[in-house]
Amino acid sequence: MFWKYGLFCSIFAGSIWGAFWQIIFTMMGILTFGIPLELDVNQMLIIGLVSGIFYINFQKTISMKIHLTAIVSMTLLVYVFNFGKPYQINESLNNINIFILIFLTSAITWISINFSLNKISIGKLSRYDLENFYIKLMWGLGLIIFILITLVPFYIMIMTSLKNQQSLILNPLDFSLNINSDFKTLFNSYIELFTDFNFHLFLINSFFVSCVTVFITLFFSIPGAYALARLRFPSKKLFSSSVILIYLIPSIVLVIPLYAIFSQIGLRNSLLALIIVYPATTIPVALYMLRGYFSSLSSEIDDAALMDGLSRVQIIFKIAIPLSKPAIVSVGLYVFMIAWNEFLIAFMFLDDPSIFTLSRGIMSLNSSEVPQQHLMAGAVIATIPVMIIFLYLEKFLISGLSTGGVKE
Amino acid sequence: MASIILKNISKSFADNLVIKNVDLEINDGEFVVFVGPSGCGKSTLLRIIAGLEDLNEGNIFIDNDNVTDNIPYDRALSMVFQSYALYPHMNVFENIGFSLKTAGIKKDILSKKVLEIAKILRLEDLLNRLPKQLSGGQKQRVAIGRAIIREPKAFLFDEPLSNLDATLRVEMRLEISRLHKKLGITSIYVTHDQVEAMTLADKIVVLNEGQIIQTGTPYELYNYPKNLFVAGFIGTPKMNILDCYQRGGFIYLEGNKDKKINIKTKLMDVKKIGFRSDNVILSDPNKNTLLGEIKFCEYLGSEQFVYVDCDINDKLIVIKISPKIKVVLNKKVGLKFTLENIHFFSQNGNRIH
Ligand SMILES: Nc1ncnc2c1ncn2[C@@H]1O[C@H](COP(=O)(O)OP(=O)(O)OP(=O)(O)O)[C@@H](O)[C@H]1O
Ligand SMILES: [Mg+2]
Repeated sequence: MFWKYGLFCSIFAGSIWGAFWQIIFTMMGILTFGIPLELDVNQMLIIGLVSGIFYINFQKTISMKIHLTAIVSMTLLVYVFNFGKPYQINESLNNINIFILIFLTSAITWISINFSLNKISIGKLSRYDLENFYIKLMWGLGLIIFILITLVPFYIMIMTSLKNQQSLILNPLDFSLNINSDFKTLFNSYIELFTDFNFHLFLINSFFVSCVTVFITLFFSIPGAYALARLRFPSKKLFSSSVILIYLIPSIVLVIPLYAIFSQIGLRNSLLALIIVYPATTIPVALYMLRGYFSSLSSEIDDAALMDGLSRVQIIFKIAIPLSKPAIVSVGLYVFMIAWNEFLIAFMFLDDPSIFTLSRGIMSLNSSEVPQQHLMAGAVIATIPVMIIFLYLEKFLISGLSTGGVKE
Repeated sequence: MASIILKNISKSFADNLVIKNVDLEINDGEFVVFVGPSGCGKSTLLRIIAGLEDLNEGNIFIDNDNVTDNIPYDRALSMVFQSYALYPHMNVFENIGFSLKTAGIKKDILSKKVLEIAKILRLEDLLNRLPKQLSGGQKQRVAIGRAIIREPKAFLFDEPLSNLDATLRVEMRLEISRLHKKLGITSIYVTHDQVEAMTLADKIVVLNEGQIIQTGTPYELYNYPKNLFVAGFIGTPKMNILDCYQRGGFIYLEGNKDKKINIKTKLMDVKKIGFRSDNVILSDPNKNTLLGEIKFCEYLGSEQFVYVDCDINDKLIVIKISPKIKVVLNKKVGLKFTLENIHFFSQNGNRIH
């Protein structure tokens, strides 16, 4: 089979990486320079292919010097292919930027080829090497695509939020940053949101609602999950399976009857309504997740605690919770994000701008009078706190605290 | 220290009756071992005594107090689990002292007691470690420490040594034996290790399918098994049990060709005969012996077992011989039975006296 040979692997990896990075870097060039660049996949595909073959032949003797030579020659090849005018750019002004772009494309392509083909020989490959090669290639491509899909919209969001109306209308595709402008003009949208649009209130409201939701959810779901995981009681099966069924009902189905009910009892236009409704939707999931974790803990530890004189309630506080910290933190985080990002119910329930949550507040910006960069700034404001909390709590999410107390 | 009495205990999980009308008396200071095949209800019975499982029927008395409805702590027993069940988030000191802390004992008294226990169990240097930083044997010692610190009325052990390797198991077995001699506390110990049962027990309780088959000292169980189940369960290697019938006082072994052997009995209705590996003597084949061929040999250093095929329904008879004898496989030999310690069983498997 031809695809079992190292030579084919080198051709395959080289051309894929070449084409792949060409697409990515052209896109990045468009986003950073704000000028439309023409995408030509073929040239880099061929250059990558040649580099792949080159690498697999000379990898044993490779040195820093050869690395550099390879990258420079790849860059030069691009210029040769395009008769000195890559991307069909004529203005000499941009040439240095374009050179950097092409150089980066070549360098990253070369590095990717190095990683993919490391220790791959030119002849027929062993099964281990072959699997390793294809898995590594897929893994690398997947990872990079995943990162870009998450990062590019975020990048566009931030860059747009930092621009003013004028430049946005002038060139909506230009996502470069005008470094020369001062702080005030750069963060104009943010300042306006907080001064004229009550975003500080929205932030506080969102934060309040989310934290209370997390608290209420954990308050009910930790004992509930513990009971489901440990205790024997009648109709336990029915109960635990119906809990997850509740979660399957989409909120769009619930929101209209809820709207009617809350209107009638006069709670509709209030944060209290959200604090009642949000936990009702999050408790089933939290219960389900925590139950799974509690059941995975050894029940003999609980038995030992019973022998040592703890009641079941004390066991929850002194044994179950300390041992499930990672799980509880992740469930809490998850619930926090659900509450923080929830839009539909907040949109239906809240009319009074002073009690808007962030998502509801951003929605209120979506009118023809409010410029687009404000909307983007609002989105950034909504995203950043969750990111910070996530990064901060990440170290708690590492599980494995419970290992060691019982035999594996 | 306490006596424990179980009266007519039954327990079922859903429809599955796992303990059936068990009656048992455990005397003050006694070391009782529960043995039986896997799934026979040993752990369940122990957990019932501990109060970790409720029961459907029957009563439990500790020191003549009916504790059937008491919670585990109030029964003042402590338990050592098979999986150690140490609290993973507490260090050795906290693990051992946990029950005292829960009971609200003052800090200085608590730490004095913990140090005392740590000394007995040689854990002094490990007090600040977390369970995950301990070896299996050390974990087990911590678990035992946690059990003794309460000065319980009785210890309950559920296969405490089964996760340890062979040498450590022997060491810990001696340690438990030593502790029992020293503290003299009533102990109930679940195991399916023969040697643990025989060496530790004052009294062995053989269980099968949720019922007590026989209770007795190791000596009684070994020498006077009540039925085929106990006969087959106690002792390694397993007792040789062969089908037989009587004619003219002599026992004939049933096989492809029935064989008369040198055993005579006045008992009636003998259908099975049982004898241990050391109640047969290997000799040269002659008229008064059972003929056979050596098929396998297990050399253990201090002793040696041979498996002899006597053409009796494909059953091999295991015989203990001196380790000094050089065994030749497929050699024709003769089997001569010592006349003591032969066990006779009736059709339904019960021992005939
Ligand atoms: N929590 C439970 N729910 C349902 N059935 C159970 C439960 N615990 C035990 N059983 C059943 O009760 C019977 C006895 O179990 P037990 O754990 O007492 O056996 P054991 O003698 O300790 O076995 P082993 O030597 O394997 O530990 C088994 O058939 C088991 O399936
Ligand atoms: Mg068991």
